[in-house]
Amino acid sequence: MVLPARRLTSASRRSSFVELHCHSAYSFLDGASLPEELAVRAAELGYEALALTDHDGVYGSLEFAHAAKAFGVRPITGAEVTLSGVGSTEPPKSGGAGFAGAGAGIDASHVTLLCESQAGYANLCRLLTAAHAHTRPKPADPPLPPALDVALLKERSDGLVCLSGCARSGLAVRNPAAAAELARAFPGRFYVELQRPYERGDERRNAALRHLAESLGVPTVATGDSHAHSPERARLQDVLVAVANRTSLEGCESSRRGNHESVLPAPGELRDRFPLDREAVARTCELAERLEFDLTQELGYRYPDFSDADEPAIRQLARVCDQAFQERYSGLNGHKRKARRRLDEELALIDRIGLAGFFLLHWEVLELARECALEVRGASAARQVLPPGRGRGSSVGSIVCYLTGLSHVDPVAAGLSLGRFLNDELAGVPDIDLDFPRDIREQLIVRVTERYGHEHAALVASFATYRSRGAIRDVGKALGLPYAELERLARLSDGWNARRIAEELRLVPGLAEKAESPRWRAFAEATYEIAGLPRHI
Amino acid sequence: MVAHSRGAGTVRAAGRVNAPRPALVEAHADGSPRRVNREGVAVIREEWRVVDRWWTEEPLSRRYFDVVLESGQHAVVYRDEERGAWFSQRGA
Repeated sequence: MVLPARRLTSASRRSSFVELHCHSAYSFLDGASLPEELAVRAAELGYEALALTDHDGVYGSLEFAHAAKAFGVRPITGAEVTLSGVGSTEPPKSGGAGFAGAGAGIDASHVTLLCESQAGYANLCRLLTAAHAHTRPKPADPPLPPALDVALLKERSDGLVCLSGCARSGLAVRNPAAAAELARAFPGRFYVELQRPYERGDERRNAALRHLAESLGVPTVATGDSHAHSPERARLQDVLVAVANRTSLEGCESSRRGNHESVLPAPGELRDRFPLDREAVARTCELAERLEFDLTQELGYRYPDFSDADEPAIRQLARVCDQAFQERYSGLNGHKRKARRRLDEELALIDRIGLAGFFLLHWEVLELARECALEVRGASAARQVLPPGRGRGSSVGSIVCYLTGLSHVDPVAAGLSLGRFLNDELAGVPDIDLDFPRDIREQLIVRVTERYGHEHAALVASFATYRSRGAIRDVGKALGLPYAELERLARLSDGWNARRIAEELRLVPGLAEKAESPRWRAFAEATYEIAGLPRHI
Repeated sequence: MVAHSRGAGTVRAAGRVNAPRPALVEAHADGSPRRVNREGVAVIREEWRVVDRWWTEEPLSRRYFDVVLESGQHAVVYRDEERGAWFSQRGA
């Protein structure tokens, strides 16, 4: 029998604790589980809600929000942000994965930010963008660690709840005075975070934090700082710390957590960790109720409507199309009438569904590409005749796309219908892929940014995920296995699925007999677990 | 050279002095110590856990307790989960 996705009522799954500080693999080498793995585990453990708070990013938040909702866990969106500009009263210690204090200014303390409302999410995104700005002063070099100026955080605190940070690198631990100052920027929305990672010194640190909360008149809240959804992934977390520090497991002992208590705990288990702080545990549920922002709901994003011009967007689009129509359909009599009718129908449809700005935007980017091509190639170059960019896919069914240069196919002559690309029932925006030739891309990126402004233009990123060879090399190095043997295995591997490495290991002469040794067994397990996890952006 | 050798020897000697010793510990159901070497535990000051070297021939999994005994004496004991035995460690 197939069971529907678990959707339990909030009353039936009232938990005693909500984890408000949890890292996924999108913390890049400081989190060993995918967002959906955390969501499934949270549902199994009976969590009512769970927050995802990756380091300096919300890369996994949407994936997490959809997965968590499907399993009946309310997703909370947030991030653990690295600060600069707060000074330091304690020398930085290396954090979980060497992430903390890795060089983001002299302080690099952490705070945990959670979204209460849509305004909070907007602020979080702006803050994260600011934290990553200027991290690539030399494009050829690896980027600097992100760091958010605490002054900007104070300015953009609306709609956000601030927790004082983790046990090793939290702002309240590193610099209580700066935490006190930040608390004033979050009236009624600042909590001192208590953690119990079962490290020596937990008692003393939490006593100091309790005292700080009392003196500031703010509440405490307990968090787990989870980095994995299962014990196997806690071992992988150790390996990831070694990878992040570019060393072996033996070489990163001080950066590792020292035990495997960073697995997402059952709510009752977490409660037992805080016998002196039951209120701080119960408060997680109260706070979670307050964090109502839902990333899966409509966020109100709109395409530019070109409303800054004198005439409405639809008229601007009609003018662009009319001009191109005169050039392309002059002299095609019967065909011309048919094309005119099609164009009028399409423009009426675009007006009804309010997408004139969407098409104008694409047309404008193509025009910018045309200018770039002229500048880069020169008017007399042979390549000048090449199109500066071209759409593909279902957009070939649109005469507006044909006339604005998005498509090179005349849909009327080719007898193509529009419905798949554009129709009255369209819920979002049509899918347009634009390809630009390599020689103009760099220039075009600059021009697009200049045209729309840094606030409105962004590069889209992709994530490098672990496949066989990367897993063999990274995990093997972390475990201190011989380089030559790792390379032999990497060359023989299928290169794609890291989950097959254990099988492949047994097929390599000279390695098969070693496969049962603890180190190679650990290698086989870790390469299996690491398969598909994102490594970097 | 001589000084270096003496330094290394001192470290080795210190290692032996602080080496864990088997301890007679009676534990509560939750695993925390109730009596250490036949003496009652008055206070458990702190508990911490160490899991390390899981990738080697000698994996390490320990649950440490910093306790004050009824006599007022301070002690650090740990349960070695790999060996299923208790040890006390001076200077920890």
